[in-house]
Amino acid sequence: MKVKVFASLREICGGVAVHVDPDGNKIRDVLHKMIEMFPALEEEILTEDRKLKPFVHVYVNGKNIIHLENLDTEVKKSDELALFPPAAGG
Amino acid sequence: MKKFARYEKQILFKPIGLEGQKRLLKSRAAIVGMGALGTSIANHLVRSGIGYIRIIDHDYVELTNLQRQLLYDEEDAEGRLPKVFAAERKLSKINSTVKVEPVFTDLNRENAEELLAGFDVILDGTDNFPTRYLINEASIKLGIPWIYGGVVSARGITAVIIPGKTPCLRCLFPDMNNVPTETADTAGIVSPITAIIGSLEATGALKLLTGAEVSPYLEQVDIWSDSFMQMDISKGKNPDCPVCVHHQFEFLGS
Repeated sequence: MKVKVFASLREICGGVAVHVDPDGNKIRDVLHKMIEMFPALEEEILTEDRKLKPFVHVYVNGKNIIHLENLDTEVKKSDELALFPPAAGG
Repeated sequence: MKKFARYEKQILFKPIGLEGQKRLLKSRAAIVGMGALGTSIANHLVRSGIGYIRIIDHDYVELTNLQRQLLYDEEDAEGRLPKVFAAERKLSKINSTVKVEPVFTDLNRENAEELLAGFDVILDGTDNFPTRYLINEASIKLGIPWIYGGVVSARGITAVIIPGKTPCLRCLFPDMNNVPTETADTAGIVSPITAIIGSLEATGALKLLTGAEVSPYLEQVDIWSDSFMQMDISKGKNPDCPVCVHHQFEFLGS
């Protein structure tokens, strides 16, 4: 499964596109696998109670997972995932 | 035909042509925020011949702005001129045949609707999410497309938001109101990224105003790591969005 990452997350993952083979079919499984691959991601994206930090956004096919089932959203191999904090300055 | 002479090269560009140029000259654009993004956007829109441009900002020119805010100079900084007046003076020298209207205020819930009503497009030169949520609500309420842009460090982001067609800012980023974000003041910024994102925003406006198909992507660029990312947001709408579906305008307060 292809996950696109940007900003500080791109730096941690070493590129914009990350190929992930999760051990389950939910977003939390994808993130769990990514943290296994890149341990520095954990502090960057998750709070202590394992929720997404408020400035980190996760999208499935361009839709924010907040509008789906959040971390329990089920994904297919063909889905496009994206993960980033938006830039706010001007 | 004399009034078209200065736009000769833009008219030669087929997707715009003389018809497109006529449309641009009849168009009205509002730019909120006249920092690095706003000055880049205004520069393009004034040169391109957008007929009426309102620029809105409440800040004064400072020396540390000159590194990237391309309409200002040392005299403006020494005189601590309000940005909108310094910008208007420079822009009127660039193209005296279009109308640039400076409005020296911040955009807030009391004035947002009034200041943005009657425009064909709104462009984002702001540096914070609360003001963007305000623009987003005014855009949906008034039915005016707007173009989101943000920059920090060497990276930037932009997307075109069209009421009734694309997801709105609250669909994309539902809850950034109280979230601390990095800005030029905390993480610094390099000048070219502001020109790149400002130019993409201006391009979005030219396409919208000439009736061209606009980008379905949220675009991100990082010029220090040579990275680009596109995300198709055409299916990104929240079917239960408080703003673009239910028309509840929390930030406008109406």
